[in-house]
Amino acid sequence: MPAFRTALKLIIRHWPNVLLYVVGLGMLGVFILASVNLTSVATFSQAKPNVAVIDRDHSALSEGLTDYLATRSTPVTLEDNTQALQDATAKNTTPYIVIVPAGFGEAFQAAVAGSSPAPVLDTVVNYSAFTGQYMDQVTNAYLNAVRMVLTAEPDMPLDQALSQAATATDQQVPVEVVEVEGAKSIYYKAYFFFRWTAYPLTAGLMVLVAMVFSTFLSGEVRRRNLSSPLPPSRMSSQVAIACVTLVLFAWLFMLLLALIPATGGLDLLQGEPGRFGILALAALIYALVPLAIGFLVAQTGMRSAAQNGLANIVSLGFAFLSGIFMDDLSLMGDTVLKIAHATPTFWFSKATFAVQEGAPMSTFWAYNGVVLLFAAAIFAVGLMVGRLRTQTADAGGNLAAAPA
Amino acid sequence: MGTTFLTTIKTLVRQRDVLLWAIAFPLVLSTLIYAMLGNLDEAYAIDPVDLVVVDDATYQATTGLPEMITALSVEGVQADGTALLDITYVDSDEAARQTLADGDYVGFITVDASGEPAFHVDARYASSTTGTRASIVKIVLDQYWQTASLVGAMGQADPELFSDPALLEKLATEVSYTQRTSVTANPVSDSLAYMYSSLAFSVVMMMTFALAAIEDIQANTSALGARRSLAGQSKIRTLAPAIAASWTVGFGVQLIGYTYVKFAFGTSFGGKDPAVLLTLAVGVLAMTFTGAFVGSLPIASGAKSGITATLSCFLSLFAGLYGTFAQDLAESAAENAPLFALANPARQVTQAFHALYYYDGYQQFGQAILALLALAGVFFVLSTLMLRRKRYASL
Repeated sequence: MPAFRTALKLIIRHWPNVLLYVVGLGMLGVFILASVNLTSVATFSQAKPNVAVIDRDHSALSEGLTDYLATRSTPVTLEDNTQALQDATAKNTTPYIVIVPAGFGEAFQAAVAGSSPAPVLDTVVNYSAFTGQYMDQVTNAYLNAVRMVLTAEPDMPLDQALSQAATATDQQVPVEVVEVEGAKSIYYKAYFFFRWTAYPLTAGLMVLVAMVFSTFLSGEVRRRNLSSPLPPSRMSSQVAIACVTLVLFAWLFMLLLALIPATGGLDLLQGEPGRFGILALAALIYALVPLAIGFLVAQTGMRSAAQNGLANIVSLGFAFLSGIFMDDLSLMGDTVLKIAHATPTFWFSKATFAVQEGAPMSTFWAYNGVVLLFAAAIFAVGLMVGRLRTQTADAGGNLAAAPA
Repeated sequence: MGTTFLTTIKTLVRQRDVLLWAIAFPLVLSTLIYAMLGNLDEAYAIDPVDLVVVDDATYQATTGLPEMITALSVEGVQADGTALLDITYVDSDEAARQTLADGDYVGFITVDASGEPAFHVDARYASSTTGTRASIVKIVLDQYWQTASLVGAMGQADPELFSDPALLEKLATEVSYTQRTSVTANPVSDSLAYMYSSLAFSVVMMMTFALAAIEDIQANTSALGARRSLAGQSKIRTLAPAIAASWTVGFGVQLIGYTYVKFAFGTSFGGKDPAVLLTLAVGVLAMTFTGAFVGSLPIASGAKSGITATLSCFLSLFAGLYGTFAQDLAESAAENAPLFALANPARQVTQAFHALYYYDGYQQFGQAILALLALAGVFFVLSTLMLRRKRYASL
């Protein structure tokens, strides 16, 4: 199979592209997941965002509040200057900052006694309104407990009131963790990584397959091949088999990456081997799409630099539209979701979510069917474009033979 | 040199595939990011938490809890208020578990015979990483139970307490002691981080022009390069205008991209346009020299294109382009590997934009610009050393 061997040699000769796109972009997903830590779901763990208290009052009340917030958050120490506060907010290292103004303690007690309005604390929050709302609830819970104690017992010493309030706010309602079938967050990372594989597979396979077919279709090479004893159909078949071999290699490499502990795939394989297998199958089915796109791109006669550019545009565009990077389709608008339906990566993403959420297998197969249809349609378009292009001068077709 | 400069510009802008890659990709990417993430700030705004409540006899008999839950819910919130909860009522524990399995709820609430509420949280929201919404529900229930327990303890200590309606009203009226303030020059926005990252990505991609220009100069990469090598011009008189032309085209492309994101999407840069243009100019300069260095490497042309593309993606990962996890990874890498963050042009361009938007002064901005200038200097030296003298197919 001379054409098969030649095609493989071409791929091996372009090892930097294999390294950069398949290995490099695949490793990007590993790097991202290596920084994600998921806690056990056997017990409920209350959110403890980073919180800083800027105490300008230094009263017993402000110190009591600081101690209480430290038990309900991850305390961060910040200097009391504009620079430090802007740094913490701009870099999003401290999503909630409480600034206790001077005189807050005295004003609080006066308000409880009814002689002045209630003082307020300044709070600085990041973009996540939930974190801000949550910490507001925590802060107000403590201060209202102190208020209630002092309201009921106006003559009680402040230290005693703070102690009573701290004891009261230590009480918590019981929590039960309810396992919902098919939604095990412990495998969250593995599902994310399988969705991520669409990105390196799209970029890498597009570039390499387009390169292989382009080489065999380039003008002079094609003319020489046409005069060889190997029939064009067999030559094309051998080149196609080489590209399918490349697809299998890329797919296997993605599975290998999925088994790296950081991606959580090994846990999924050990805990739910069936789901791991189904996800691997979905990735293999999806890999046929960039194979088809690479074939189409080669038929257009695009230059190498343009092929690289297009591969990156398509892979990144598909990845963003399918929600791979956000992993939460609800953050996308309705219009974007409608556009995303026209991309094969979106349906691959839906197939992985179907596995993640325990949807029926018929749903999974339906989504994969759509992916296969995309691959078939793109391949058909590639065949048509190739047919038209063989009539151009570049390919040495009829136009090349026509008199000037 | 002037002729070489102008000719190089014309050559670069006539390479449709390079231009397409350099112009279309950033525009497409920023459009996608805006379409997907432009409403991120609204998405992160308060969206009522979906919660199930077992509305049985014990729940109805609990003093104050049904009223509190209703007041916080979509049905009961005041017109100018924000609903915290979106409640689905069921009549039994079994029905609540079934509802939890069928839908996307954080959990359900039950009340026992003693009047103590319990929170049954969906395991998907049980971890502190994914469970901020569940934590809000928990803290609301904790606050109710703490208040009820406190009032109960006060009543036991002083039974006459409940005979004073005014005092009871004072106890029951919750006071809000918090108000929002801002310490940054402009409001915090998460979607801006992604727009800045996409612009930084396009700056990094400006390597492409220098790569193409250098390939037209080297004798072993193109027939044109071989002819130009025979010309009676010193290397510096050939290289300098080529580099300058690459920078000019790259900066022009960035102006298009900046104008697009600023006016089409209303992306704010803190109103400091001259500083933004300086960032783009210095960023493109750094990437022009980087592209020249990559272009001078003795590897195949296709591989060089792959290097620039993948390098752009890799560096942009650590500038936070690829979603929330990437943002966290970028911050973690900056904290644990500050030298790498300093050497990452995508990160520094993003940091420069952040500094202009969030800070009043220019200190952080200046640091980012200096880092980019240092990078430009390093790759200027490297590319000069690589391109100074070459020997091809020497006998």
